[in-house]
Amino acid sequence: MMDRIRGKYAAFPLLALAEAYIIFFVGMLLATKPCFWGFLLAVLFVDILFGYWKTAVFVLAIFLPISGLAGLIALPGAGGVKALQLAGRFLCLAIAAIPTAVMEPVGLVRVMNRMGFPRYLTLGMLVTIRFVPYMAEEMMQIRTAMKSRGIRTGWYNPKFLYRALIIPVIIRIINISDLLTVSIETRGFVMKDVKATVYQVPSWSFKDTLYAVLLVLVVVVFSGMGVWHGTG
Amino acid sequence: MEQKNLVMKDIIFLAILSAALLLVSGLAMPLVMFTDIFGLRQMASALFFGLFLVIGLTKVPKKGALLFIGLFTGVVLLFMSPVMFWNNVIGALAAELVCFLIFRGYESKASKFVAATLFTPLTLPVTLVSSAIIKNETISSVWGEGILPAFMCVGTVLVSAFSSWLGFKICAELKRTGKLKL
Repeated sequence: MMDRIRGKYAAFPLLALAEAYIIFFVGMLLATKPCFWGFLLAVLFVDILFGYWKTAVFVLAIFLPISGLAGLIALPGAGGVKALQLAGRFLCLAIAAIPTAVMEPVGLVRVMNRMGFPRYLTLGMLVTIRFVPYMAEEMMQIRTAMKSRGIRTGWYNPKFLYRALIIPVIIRIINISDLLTVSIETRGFVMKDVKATVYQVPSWSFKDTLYAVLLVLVVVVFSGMGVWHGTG
Repeated sequence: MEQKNLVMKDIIFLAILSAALLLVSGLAMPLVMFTDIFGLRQMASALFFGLFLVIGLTKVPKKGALLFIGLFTGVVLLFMSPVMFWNNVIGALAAELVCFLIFRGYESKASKFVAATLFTPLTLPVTLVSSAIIKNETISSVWGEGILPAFMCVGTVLVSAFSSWLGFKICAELKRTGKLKL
C-alpha cells in the first residue's frame, strides 16, 4: 500500500521526522491566527513540489472528511471560528505527517545505528513498526477462525474480545517472539553494541537541503506573520 | 538463574506486544476521536493498556520493561503525532520511577499492578500541559468546565485498575496453558 503512494523522492529520515515535529508545532501555534490556512497550503505546496503528491492525495482523502466531521461535531458547542480551528488542527496533523507516512522505517533505523543509538532500541523500534500490519493480519485471521466456529465476532463484543481475541493474540505474540528471537540470533545479531557494518544507510542529498531550506523559509515567514497578527 | 538485564528475547516480546497493544487500543479511538472532553481518550485507552502492560511485566519482570513498552508504542505514534510519543514515554518513565522507588522492581504482583494501573493516568498531566501549550490556551480552559473532566480522570484510574486485574486473569489462564511463568 505504502509503496503505491510513495513518490521518487524520500526525504532523509531525520529530516522527515524533524519536519513532522516543526510543522506540527508551528501549525498548532498558528491555528488561531488568520495566516494558518496559508501556512498549511504553503507546506502542502512544498511537499507536492518535491514529489509527495500521491502521499498528499492519500492523506488528504482520509483526513479531509475526518477534519470536516470534527468541525461539524464541534460547531454547535464551540461556534464557527473554533470549529474551523479544530478542523484545521486535524488537517495540520495530517499535512505534517506526509513525509513520515511514506518513510521507510528501516532507513530511520539504519541512520540511528550509524549515529550510535543502542542496538536494543533500534531493533525494538523496527520490530514494533514492522509488526503493526502483521499483527493486524494475525487478528483478522483469528477473527475469521472464530467466525467459522460460529462465534459472534463484533469488535465491540467484550466476550469475544476477551476470550476469542486477546488470549489467542497473546499466545501468538509469545510464539512469534520466541521464533523471531531464535531467527535473529542465528543470523549473528547480538545485543551488545559491538562494531558492525551497516549497509545501505540513507545519505543526505542536495534535494534534502533544498527541501529543508524551503520549509524553514515557510516556517519563518508564517511565524513572522503570526507574530505580526498577534501584536497588531 | 534468572537474568536481571533485558535480553534479546525480552526486547522482541515487548516490541511485538507493543505493536498488538497499539492495534487493540486503536479500536476504541474512533469512538472518542472527536471529543474535546479532557480525559475521555485516556479512559478509553486505559482499558487496553493496563491489560497488556500486566502481561508484558509478567513475562518480562525486569527494570526498564515498562519504559520500553512506552517507547515502542510511542515510536509508532511519533509518525502521526509527536505529542503522543512524549505522552507515552513520560507516562512510562513516571510509572517506572514510582515502582522502582516503592517496590525496587517488578518481582511482586503488587508492583506489576501499580505500574500497569499508573501508566495511563500519569499521561493525563502531560496531555494537559502539552495541549495548553499547543492550543495556546490556559490549563484551566483545556481542563474544561464542570465536574466531567474530574470524573474522567477518576474513571481513567478505575478503568486502568480494572484492566490490570483483567490482565492478571489472562496471565493465570496463560499459565494454565503453560505459555507463561508466574
